[in-house]
Amino acid sequence: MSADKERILASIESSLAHISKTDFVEVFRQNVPFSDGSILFKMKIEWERNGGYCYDPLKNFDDLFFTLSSHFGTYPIGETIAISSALKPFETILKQRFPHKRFFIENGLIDQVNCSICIATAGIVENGTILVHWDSTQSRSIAVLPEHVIYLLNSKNIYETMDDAFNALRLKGISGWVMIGGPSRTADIEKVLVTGVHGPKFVSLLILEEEFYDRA
Amino acid sequence: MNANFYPNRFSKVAKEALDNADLQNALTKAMHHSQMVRNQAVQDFSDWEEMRNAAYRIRKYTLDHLDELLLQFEENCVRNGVQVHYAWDAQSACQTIHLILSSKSAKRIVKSKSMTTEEIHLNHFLESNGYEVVETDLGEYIVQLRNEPPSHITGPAIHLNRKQIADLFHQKLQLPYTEDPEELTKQARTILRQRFLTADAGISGVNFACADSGKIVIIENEGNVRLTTSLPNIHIALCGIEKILAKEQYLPLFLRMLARSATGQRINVYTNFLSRPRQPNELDGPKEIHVILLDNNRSKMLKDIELRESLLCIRCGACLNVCPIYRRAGGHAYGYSYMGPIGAVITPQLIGLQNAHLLPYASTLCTACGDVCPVKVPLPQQLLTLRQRIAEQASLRPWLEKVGFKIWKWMFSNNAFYVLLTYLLGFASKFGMMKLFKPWSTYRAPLRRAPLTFRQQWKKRTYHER
Amino acid sequence: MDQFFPDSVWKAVQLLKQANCDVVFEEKALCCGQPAFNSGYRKDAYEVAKPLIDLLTMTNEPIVVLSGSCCSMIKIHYHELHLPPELEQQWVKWKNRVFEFCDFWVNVLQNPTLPNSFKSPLRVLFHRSCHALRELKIVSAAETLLQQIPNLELVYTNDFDACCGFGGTFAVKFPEISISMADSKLDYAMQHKVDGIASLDMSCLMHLQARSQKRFLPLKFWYAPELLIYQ
Ligand code: SF4
Repeated sequence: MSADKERILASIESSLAHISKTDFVEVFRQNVPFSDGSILFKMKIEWERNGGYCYDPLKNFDDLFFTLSSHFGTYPIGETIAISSALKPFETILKQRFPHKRFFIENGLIDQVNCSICIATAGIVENGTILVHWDSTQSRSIAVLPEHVIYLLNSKNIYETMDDAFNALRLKGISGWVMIGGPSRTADIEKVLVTGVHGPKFVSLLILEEEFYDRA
Repeated sequence: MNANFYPNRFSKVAKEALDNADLQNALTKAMHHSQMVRNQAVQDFSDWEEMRNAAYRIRKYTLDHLDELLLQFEENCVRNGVQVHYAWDAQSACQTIHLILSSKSAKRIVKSKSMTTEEIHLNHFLESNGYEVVETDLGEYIVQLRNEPPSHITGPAIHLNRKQIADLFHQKLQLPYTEDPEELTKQARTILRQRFLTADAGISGVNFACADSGKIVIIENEGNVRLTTSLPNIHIALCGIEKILAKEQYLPLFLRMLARSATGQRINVYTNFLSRPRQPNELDGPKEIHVILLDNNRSKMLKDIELRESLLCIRCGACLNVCPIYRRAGGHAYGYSYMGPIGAVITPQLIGLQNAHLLPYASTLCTACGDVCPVKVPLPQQLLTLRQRIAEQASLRPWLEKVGFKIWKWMFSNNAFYVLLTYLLGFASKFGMMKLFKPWSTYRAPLRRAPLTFRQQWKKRTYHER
Repeated sequence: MDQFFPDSVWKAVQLLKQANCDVVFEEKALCCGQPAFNSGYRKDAYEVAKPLIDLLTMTNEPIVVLSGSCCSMIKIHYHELHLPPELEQQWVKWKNRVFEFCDFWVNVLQNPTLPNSFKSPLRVLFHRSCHALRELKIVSAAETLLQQIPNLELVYTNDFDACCGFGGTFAVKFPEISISMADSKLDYAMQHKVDGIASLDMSCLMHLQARSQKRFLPLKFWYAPELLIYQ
């Protein structure tokens, strides 16, 4: 009996290997105009297709601060900004660069803040989503509670398919996460799309190139 | 029988729905939209059919090995620190929840959308026991304010237009009147945000439960599940026992298919993978997670070889969107938490044939539902099987129909009778007696038989040729 | 068909004869049993279908059925009648010899005769009947066939898979819903100023026709192959 079960599962898995992964990769290869086919740009495009905003991949601190300041300029962002404690090393430097903002390390409840910066664990090109996990350095609510959320993503952690990304997280021993694809939305009233229901209305993704991320 | 279940009033409620122009407009528009986006979204894959086959086989595997998988799931949950409860029926599920809540003296409860909690009428139960329950999914919140059950699996307030919602918010919540969906959403957000922050417990459903890792997966767009499962101290997930997947690695396939079938999205905005309660060093999260595995006649369905495949369903709602009957009758006509073709199939099984004997007949068997279902639930065949069972129970069908089919049987199984009845019918139609067949002729012209049947003509012709 | 639409049958017979087929009509074959089957009376359905099954088991010729839903009943659903095992084995063999008219015409006879041409242009709403579309999957064959006819313009409803609302006993059990569905079709037809409606299923047409007569709409109704020789 158990051999039989194994056989069924094996045949299911072998059929899974053929389907549904290859297809969309082809589709977006055709859609993506970048000749270098860089996975970073694909990530950017797919994230934006979901209604988020994504800056070009960042190479160094100057890029980062420039992007952040233009971001703070474009969106109505309040004075206080919560950052996840994983970003502690940045705290002082951020405070120096943006003296008129108040940055504080989140403490688990940030309902008064309308903007937060947190770390995305992985990016998935297939559907333009990111995975955010929680642990001692980052709370569950920081990724969804404020109206604006800025996610930082290491370019090394971008994967083509959901399967790859989930596996990678499991290998890291992470057991709970949320997959986020764009701003919180609803179509419950007459099928009209409204963003920003319970979660953020504006979601921005900053992709940091690997070298830079490591240095930072 | 609970007064809130009224599937046998299908005709009456459906008639009311048909006369309600607002409802018809809202439904038609919404259903066309859903169908269109779904059809577009599945174009992403050239091998959609193969995906359906694979999904079918995976779900089927679950049903075939549910006993072991449940134990495996439980074991893994316990290892993760999640508490698992089994509930045999609606009442025991409600009691279990009551027990969990009262032991922590939790009073204020936020709920995210879940058809399973509708199935056991949880809100009703909790409210009558003194709890404060608020639905947090926007659509569900709207219908809760209206004291109505949801009318669609994925869009509970699909039957309302913005005017009705504006009126509702204005009257019930004393908010400034606005018809702008954006503004309305904002109003709801503000109110519900407060509820989230003060809630003692969160109750949610489950989309998939992975046996090999003990993870539960919940899918949503608004972010309310995210908040329900991370802000309050207790999280209770109500999970039908058929929601198990054997392995976590099958999830991507289902996520791809479910989002596209349900709302035409590539992927839902939030897909929550939850496995353990808050750890000592973590900043927030529920201290306790309870998973309640609900049977409520599912194991009985499982035993029924002919009908068990309706348990494959992953509640995407695609079959509702294509169903012409649903589009006209509306979700409330089905009188239970599941509606449309899937409702017509599982409601009679969940609450008993005699309590829902009209539903399987509420279909033209156009088979559109079977075609869109991502997990290949053979809906039309199941409807037929149910009809057969109902026809076998003498008391459930009108005697007229039975006699009718007896006559029809004589007529068509014996040539002589057929010829005889042909003549009778000829007379009948000559003298306008066909008008007497009321249900047909109230709305349609009476049938007119041709002066000579083909059979008669053929005989004549061959005779002449000879 | 026998009772209500003998003309359509004659046209089909005529067509087959033109294509050099010997046509045999079997008097004993009365009904496929679908009405009872669909209402849940499988035993009654079986008894009615029995003569037909016996008959078809005995012949060796291709069998042409003039209606999508009857054809799909015979081809696809008979095993659900709980046939005795011998009969079921036979059925598996002969069911592949059963064709709907359009299927037969296009795929077996390979479009034998030149299609008819109309003197004046004709706009026809083609109703893709559910059984032909989804169970038999012959609608595209029928469409290619009809598209070859000069001067004939096909129109489709916007949600082109939508059912007409007949559904056998459904039409009398839930007449209001059924009518509302028919009306959507008819309204669409009227808005697009078509001359009539064609379909592969007589039962759909019977229902639509009855409703349109009640509403005094100037629509004509054709069994799709009729258009091949309709003048
Ligand atoms: S039966 Fe199929 S189409 Fe209908 S809700 Fe379930 S999974 Fe979706």
